[in-house]
Amino acid sequence: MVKKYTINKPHIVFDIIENEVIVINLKNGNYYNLDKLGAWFWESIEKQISPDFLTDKIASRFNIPEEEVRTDMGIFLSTLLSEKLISEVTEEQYVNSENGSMPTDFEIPGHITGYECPVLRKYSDMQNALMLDPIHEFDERGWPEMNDDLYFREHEDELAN
Amino acid sequence: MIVKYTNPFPSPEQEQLLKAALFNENEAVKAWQQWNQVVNFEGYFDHASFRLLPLVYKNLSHLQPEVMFAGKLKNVYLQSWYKNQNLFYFCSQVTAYLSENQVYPLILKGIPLSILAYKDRGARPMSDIDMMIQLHEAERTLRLLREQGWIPENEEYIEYNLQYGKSICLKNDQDIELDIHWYPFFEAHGKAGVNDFTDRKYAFKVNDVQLYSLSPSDMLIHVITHGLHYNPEPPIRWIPDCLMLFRNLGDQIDWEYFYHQMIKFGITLKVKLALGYLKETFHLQIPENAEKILLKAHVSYRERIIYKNSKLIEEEKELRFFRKLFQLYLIYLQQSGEKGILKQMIGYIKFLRFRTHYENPLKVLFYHIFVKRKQENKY
Repeated sequence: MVKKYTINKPHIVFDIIENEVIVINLKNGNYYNLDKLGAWFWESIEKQISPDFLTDKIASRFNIPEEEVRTDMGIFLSTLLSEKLISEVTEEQYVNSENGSMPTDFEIPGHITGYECPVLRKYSDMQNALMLDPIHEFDERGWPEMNDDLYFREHEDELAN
Repeated sequence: MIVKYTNPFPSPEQEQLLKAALFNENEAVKAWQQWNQVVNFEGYFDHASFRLLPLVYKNLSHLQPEVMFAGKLKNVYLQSWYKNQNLFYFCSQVTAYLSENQVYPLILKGIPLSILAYKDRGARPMSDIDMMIQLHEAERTLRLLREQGWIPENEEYIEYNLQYGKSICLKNDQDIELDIHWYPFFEAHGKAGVNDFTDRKYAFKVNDVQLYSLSPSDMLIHVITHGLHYNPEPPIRWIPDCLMLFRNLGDQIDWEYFYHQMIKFGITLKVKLALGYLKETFHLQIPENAEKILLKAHVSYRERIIYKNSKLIEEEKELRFFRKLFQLYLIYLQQSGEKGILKQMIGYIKFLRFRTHYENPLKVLFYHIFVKRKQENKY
């Protein structure tokens, strides 16, 4: 049987910014981001497409053994479940069932050029990221990934005390 | 103490940044480049400009990173997005709780503007939640909110604010700020009817919770009235607020109703100044009929004198006592809506007693004229 999932709304809120999915769990303040296949995978859940349907597409597009894709997706899915970002739903709860088939217009986006196992990046200590200056205290890895060198230089006096 | 008030219109640099945030591609890029020629993005600049950066990012994010420091602008946007989500969340939680207790707030400012006008949850950074409830429900609402851990910031001002103010600020243990208003702006004080604003409330959803805001017409009045106050920090954000409101809700503005509200609350001068500026600088298109009626509207003496005094205050380095007293009188006029000279005088003395924490206003006057002046002359 095909397993189906749903995003745990309303306390899980997300947006898509420049092909990157940003997610916040409003109950605990944790922040997450996903890109490339991870972002596409998230979109599939939002569109209520079973992730099982994605495996074929990924395997054939990137010429990867289906089993490898299935294992990677399984790990990624359990991470989303353990972080309580999504939940498994029953057939009756499934609003937009596609009669067991993959919708034809849900293609892997063109900007994804190679296969990489999807990763969920998690940020649970957001206090500093919220207090710091987003122009000067973060580097090319982007907010909320702090640039420790810049941070220590800026806050040398406070830290020394 | 009266803080220094400054002009609500943008400086030339701020205007360039506003254009980068609001114009179409080529003009926006040009404005962004011009802004970067005079302001050091990597340096430190004014807070009002900083608060426009998420919208600049949204407007220009499809450009190449080297053209616009996209990474750094994206950082500003993401931080704003995250902070806003918390405010959306608490707003929906508080509204749900109040509604369970038969208090039905209208959500003001940032939250409805983000969802309905900007149609984006990060482009307009917010620092607090603003809600309006009816004045007669204020005390019960404060009690309900206290039960949920929201504590008024200045307990001693509650009585003053209920009589002359328009809102009170509360905070919870996570330092989230919630402003409860009984009037959306000072000019509505004493002039708004019980069902003004609520009769035309506008439904929207945040995190699956049904919320209500002012109608698009009232929202426009609110943005202009609030924005064109002389403030310690020029609140130039009224400009994108108005333009985004026109862009996405413009067809729902009831101009006839807008006109009546404008006259009723005595904000004709502000409306004329704001819409005139937006038309001239940002090519705002107002329906022809509406524009004709608005242009003909009469600006009252009270409005003119309040505005003129605000401008004089901006130019004066240090406020003299009688200027302060006069400014307080104008604030009182704005906040009380009292008519008739005798009523106004008595009301003003009562108002001064509140402002001076129940000290005898004559004592305050004596202190400023004789004691303080003597001290000043000494040095």
